[in-house]
Amino acid sequence: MTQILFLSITGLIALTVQSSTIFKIIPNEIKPDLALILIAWSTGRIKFSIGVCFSFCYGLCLDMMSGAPLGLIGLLYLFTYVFFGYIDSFLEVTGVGRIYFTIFLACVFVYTALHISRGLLGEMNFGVSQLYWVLIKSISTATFSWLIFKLLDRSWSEYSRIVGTT
Amino acid sequence: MPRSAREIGLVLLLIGLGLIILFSSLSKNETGFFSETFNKIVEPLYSSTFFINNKIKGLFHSYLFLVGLNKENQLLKEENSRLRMENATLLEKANENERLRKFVGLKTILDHPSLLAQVIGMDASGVYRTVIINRGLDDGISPNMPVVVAEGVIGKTLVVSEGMSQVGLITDPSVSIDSRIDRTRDRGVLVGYSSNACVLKYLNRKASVIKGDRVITSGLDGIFPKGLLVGIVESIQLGPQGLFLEAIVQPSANFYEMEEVLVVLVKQGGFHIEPGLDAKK
Repeated sequence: MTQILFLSITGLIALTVQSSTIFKIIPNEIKPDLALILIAWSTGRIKFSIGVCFSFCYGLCLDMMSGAPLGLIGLLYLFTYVFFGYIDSFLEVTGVGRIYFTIFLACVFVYTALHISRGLLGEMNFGVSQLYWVLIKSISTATFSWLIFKLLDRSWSEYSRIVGTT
Repeated sequence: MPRSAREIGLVLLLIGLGLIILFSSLSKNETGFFSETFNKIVEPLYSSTFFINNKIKGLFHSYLFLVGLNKENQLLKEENSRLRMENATLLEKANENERLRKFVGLKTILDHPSLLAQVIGMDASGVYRTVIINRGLDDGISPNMPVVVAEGVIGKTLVVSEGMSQVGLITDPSVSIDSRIDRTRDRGVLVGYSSNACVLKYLNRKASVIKGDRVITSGLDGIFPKGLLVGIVESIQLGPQGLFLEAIVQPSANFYEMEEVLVVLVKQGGFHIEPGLDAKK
């Protein structure tokens, strides 16, 4: 229960920051994907069943807040969580380089899939400009990921100390 | 990594659920129970961030700016601070009044009833160019209603829930507007192209469009009223197959600056579709 509460609070904060008009002057491709970083962070630190359900539900929330077909980001985040779990099971994702690399890969996967799905729905074509967009977004997200991992680790340890982990 | 059969089963169950939700949601713009509940939770958060945003901006534009100008009046610092704070509030109010005055002017131009709404959020993923406004079904808004500002067209409402609505900006590739070049009256379809540009497609090859031409709504798509300014032509090129001309259009509205928008309360097609009308057809 405490894990669900922690993820819900941090998730809501991340979602609000990400969609707030405070940062509207920053281009979308430069804004790091806080939701994806949170999902990556929860792998290995939170119980699998809770983490996987959180990723799916969080993706559904993003679907509702972004204009994506309901369920699309939910599924993508679910696959991302399982992917992180798989990577983490044989290659412990704790070092800076490994965090950067896995977050970058996951971001490329999620955003390429989102653009391709828009292409399949006839809304846009996936071209070179979209590829640049995805790469810039992925680099930006990966760059900020270590800092946010540290922030989440700190918050989690403080939260666990006060509330407990069970 | 799922290790037990239970965990694998949970993943498969969620994938199945996700696919069902995805395929059932592809064809409709209506919000369901989950969306409604979720929107009720996040609406206060959006409103509070909107409030904080305004406060920060007000301080940045007025208070901090005035601090720099009044450095020589060190002795009157305390008194000045109070006055600056008052001034900041008044300046913010004056700016707001100025913006709202433009909307009043726009309201008199529009033939249809309209509703003022505040922009309280933006697309969380970054892939979809949408904004969230603080008006919804309760205020008489429904999907596919035009959204405008004094400078021009912003977009149209997409998904509408009780207290908030999602607005697809004209720069989003999923939003298209039947438009005209104001000077030559040539028609085309305007679709989103990049984060700050649109493309006017299917223009007649013989059209004498030039850079700087105004692009307005034609009123023929059944959504946007006729004659609203959309943007200015930036460049003209031949389309992919060489059959039509394409014009890159710079939207006249500044999406980064907008705080209030006007939703034109006109149903798709300009009339209210009575229940059972489709069956009669």
